[in-house]
Amino acid sequence: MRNNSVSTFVGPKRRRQWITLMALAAMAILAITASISIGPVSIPFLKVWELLAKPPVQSDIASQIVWNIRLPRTLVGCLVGAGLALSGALLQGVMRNPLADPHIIGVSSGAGFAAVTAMIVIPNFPPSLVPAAAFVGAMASGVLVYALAWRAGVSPMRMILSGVAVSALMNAGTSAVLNIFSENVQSVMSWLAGGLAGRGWHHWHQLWPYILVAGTIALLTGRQVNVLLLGDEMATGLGMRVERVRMLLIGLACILAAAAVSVSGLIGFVGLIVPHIIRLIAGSDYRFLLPASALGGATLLVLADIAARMVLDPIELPVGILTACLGAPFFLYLLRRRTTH
Amino acid sequence: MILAAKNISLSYESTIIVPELSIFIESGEIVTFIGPNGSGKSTILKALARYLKARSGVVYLNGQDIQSMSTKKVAQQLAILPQTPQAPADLTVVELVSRGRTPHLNWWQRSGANDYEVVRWALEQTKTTHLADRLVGTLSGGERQRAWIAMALAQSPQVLLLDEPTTYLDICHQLEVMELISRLNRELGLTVVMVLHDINQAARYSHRLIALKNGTIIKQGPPQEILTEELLTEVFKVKAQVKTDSASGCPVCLPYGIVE
Repeated sequence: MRNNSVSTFVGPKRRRQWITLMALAAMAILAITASISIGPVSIPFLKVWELLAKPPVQSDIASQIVWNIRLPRTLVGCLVGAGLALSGALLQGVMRNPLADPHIIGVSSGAGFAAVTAMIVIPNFPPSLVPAAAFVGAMASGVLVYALAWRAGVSPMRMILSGVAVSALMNAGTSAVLNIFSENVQSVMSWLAGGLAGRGWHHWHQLWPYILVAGTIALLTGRQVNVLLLGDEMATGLGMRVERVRMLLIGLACILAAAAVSVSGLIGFVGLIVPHIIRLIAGSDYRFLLPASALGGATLLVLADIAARMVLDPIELPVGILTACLGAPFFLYLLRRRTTH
Repeated sequence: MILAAKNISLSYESTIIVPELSIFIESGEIVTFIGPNGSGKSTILKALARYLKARSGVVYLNGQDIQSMSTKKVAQQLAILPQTPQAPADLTVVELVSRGRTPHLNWWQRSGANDYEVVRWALEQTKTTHLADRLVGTLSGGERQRAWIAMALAQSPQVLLLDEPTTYLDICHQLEVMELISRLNRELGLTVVMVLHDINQAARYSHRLIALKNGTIIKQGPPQEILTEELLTEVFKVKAQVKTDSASGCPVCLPYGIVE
């Protein structure tokens, strides 16, 4: 009997997942178009696509704005958002902790400390190398957290605790540098708050290889995370080399988040809230949660960037402030929901 | 001999739980570890499942050193159900049972018709077909335990290890789970190794009991032979009467006091 086949049980859930993915993709495209359209020089939606359909025209101001300013900024925003959200989704799965995000493995604080040190302490540090410094700091910090948590394997709880400790240390270092060299703090503050202002093609070129490689591998690990969610013992029983898979997943999360924050500065809460929103809508199957989080993260960050440009126009707010304004209330809502269970 | 531990010594960090121990399990047996808290029952089960690596000695599965086999190969022959397995809140029974096919798939492979067939069979065997699209979190204790056993069955194992499968269940559901395990053993020839706290259930459903204390085997053998008042005093420090249940012919113990 066809009706008894197991695959039909899975049907409705699968459909919901596909619909969610389609909807997210549509929202991402809309957000990207809006982001390119909105600005001091307003360009209608259709005109945006018309200009994007052909190569940049030297003599056309609108074409120049779209191709050289708004498109790269928007695309960088997409990659940063997708990278952070993927990283958060991976970490929440690996740690089996709903409050995990890229901050928890020390990536953000490491990036911040390295970038601030480079910008302030080292004289004449070329600004174009700040992302590289931040990336190195982020990765070093992630590796340090992992190494400190290692004791014949890494337990999620020890990883989280050592992440908190290392983050505190890095943040203390950042504060110390800011206080000691208080005369040139201005430029650094806006980097720390995170944002997409002035991000262009050279940022895109620094960013896409990492997100493409680590992101593609991450999207293929859905089933592994699903098995890991059943607990270490069960996962081992099902034939998984738990420690190795965990190291791979944490490594991917670390690279994605490090690449993202190295270009954008510290942007909070995207990695935390996006996977949760997706979970609420369509469940925690990681084969679906990972691509959906990537799309959702890209959309949220591009929307937050639009808001950052519009709210106090002509002053531009760092986008990190807006994601936090969106994220903090949601975070609290989540905490309340969890304690009532 | 399907599963064997030769001279294994087990410890957590530097605390030695099992100084040295050998166990031999024949194919088709139901073997149950009994013993007080801290006697090393669960630890030994973890070692047999390769989750805990022995400090010395070797665990053999079908004659091969379990630590040198690929963990996936082991998972195709041996399944373990931990004491308190966890599952995401929105996981359905059929999704859970499908996870049991993991060791039979490579990472790029999707479940095929054969996998669905095995999953359906596992649901039938555990009488959970009607629960297939329920959320695991909303099941009663007995139903949930059957769903987890279905997942283990979907691994198509020869050996099933169970860590206190009846804890937290009411008496009816306890019997239901024990009857299920017993039937799987009879009908499929599944070898079962488990840890139980209820000595009477252990005696009723096992071919062989292994009584443990401080990580050492005090006595092992068929329940009728080894379950005596002296053994209960030595292992559990309780005074008990041991009678024979006229319905099943199995020994039952009635504890009435503590040895000071």
